[in-house]
Amino acid sequence: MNRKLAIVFFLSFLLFCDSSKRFETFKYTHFALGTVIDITLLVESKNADRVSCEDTAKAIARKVFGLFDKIDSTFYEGNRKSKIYQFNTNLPENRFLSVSYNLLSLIKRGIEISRKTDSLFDITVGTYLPLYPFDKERKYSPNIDSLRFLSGFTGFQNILLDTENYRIARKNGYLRLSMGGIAKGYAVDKAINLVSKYSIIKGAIVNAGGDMGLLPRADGKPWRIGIRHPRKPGELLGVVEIKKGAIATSGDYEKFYILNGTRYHHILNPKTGLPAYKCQSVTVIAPNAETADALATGLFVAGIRKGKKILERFPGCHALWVDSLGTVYTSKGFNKFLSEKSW
Amino acid sequence: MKNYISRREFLKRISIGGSAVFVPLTFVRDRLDDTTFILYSNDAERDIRELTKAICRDFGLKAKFSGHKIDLDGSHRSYRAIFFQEIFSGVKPDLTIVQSDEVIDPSKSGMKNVRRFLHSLRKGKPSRHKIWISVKRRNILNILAGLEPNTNKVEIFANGKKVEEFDILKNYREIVVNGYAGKTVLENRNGKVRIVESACKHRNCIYEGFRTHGKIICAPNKVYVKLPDYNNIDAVTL
Repeated sequence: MNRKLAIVFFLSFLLFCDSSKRFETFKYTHFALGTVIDITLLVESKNADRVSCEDTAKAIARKVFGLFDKIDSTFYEGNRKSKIYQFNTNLPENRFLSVSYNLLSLIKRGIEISRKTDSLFDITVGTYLPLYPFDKERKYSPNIDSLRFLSGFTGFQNILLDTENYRIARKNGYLRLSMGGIAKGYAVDKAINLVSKYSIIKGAIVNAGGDMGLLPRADGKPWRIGIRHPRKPGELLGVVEIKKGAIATSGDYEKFYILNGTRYHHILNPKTGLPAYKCQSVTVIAPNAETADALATGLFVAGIRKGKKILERFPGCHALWVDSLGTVYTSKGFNKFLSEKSW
Repeated sequence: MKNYISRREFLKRISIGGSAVFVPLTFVRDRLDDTTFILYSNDAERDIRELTKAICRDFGLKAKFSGHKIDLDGSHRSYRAIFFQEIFSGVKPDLTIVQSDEVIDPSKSGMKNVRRFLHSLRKGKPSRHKIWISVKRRNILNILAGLEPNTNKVEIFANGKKVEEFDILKNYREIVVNGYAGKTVLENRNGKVRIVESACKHRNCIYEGFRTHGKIICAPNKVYVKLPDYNNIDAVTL
């Protein structure tokens, strides 16, 4: 009797094994928005050979990259064809420029986040960027008087929005928009939306230069995301486990140069135009990548004490700060995502 | 006469023999000053012996590894390896490897005891070169996420196409690839990769320095270096 039972169990186990789902992971890379876009796709390979799975995944990845290229050509200020480039370079004062609905609504959302972060995240921070030699071979420190002068012309209050006719204008000729703090997150959200429409995809990560959107895994396991150590390239500060949502990091190590012992990096304080000095990096977990991207920049400028107050205005968002001395601070909710930490 | 050797020079000389000294260890990850390293290891004594042997092999030296293991305040242990032949031109040859359980800054006064101890070992003659190695025990995070890569494969993509593939643990080599704006020169040394020269104006890729995991990106030149993945990690937020 026992032997029969054992055989029945064994057969049912075999059946279970056969029907269990297997997942294949595919990774693809592309250049857009001035950074590298990585896509990780989890594809169910039940009763299908790997080659056909790979072909499908490749086709989906190609569509996602097409989406990024499209966003690059309209939203990225470094692209000469984009509306933002036109706005920054050729647009006279108070003259309106027609833009798409998507761009207008993104600018509006950016302004909304600016208000919530007490203007510590501001899309008009691009006004200061021409004073920094990030894109030049010869490095120098920015002229403080020029920064002070330009600080009078920045601020989202200087953007004019015509929401009925989808037009934007600037109140002064110095104003420049920098969508870098929010456009990558927006693109990631769009990409996750696109990927989620394909039933064959059983989980995905879209990573645009560290701004990550996550599509939940069908097997219920969380995604394991490493947080880069701000001062030790190649090492991890910690590992978080997230099932869905988004995670983004802003750090002073991405675009920087050191001159006479001073680190000049690309995250500028919108009020002074100088690089924010209170943190080395900030990681934010949020429901969507757009918020995570913008909030990480805002909290980086704000520092820990003010940042914690700002974070309370964003429900469902959690943050980790590494301050200028390398000490790590987390918000209350962040610790439940932490799986491993090195501090 | 030069009494002091920089870390850069030390590493340069150490790879003269063509064999990457730190590769068998693969634990040297960071330094605090020019002659301090952090070594991640569970068997520090063995690894320091290996390091000593490798230095001897590369420089054709004879070394006496005394293997003193003396507790100082219950936490510091010292190993002594003295090289008998000249290592660096014009300098009286000797070199001491000091191991400690804590990160040591030799300039700090707290290390006076250790220095005095070392000097006494040399019978009043302080050694000219010291390599201070701080040993950290490997923890789960390091094992899972940092130190042991999935594979050792490095792939270089330029303009969206794979142009080069090699093993990160291979000996010193220089790789030149043609990117969107011009040439990018990469260097693979001691299990690490970095960009040495680039046609881009940013130079951010060069500032990044050596990397062991993850990726190195030169966006203007459209060069993307894919280094070994972290174990058990799906993605890394930068």
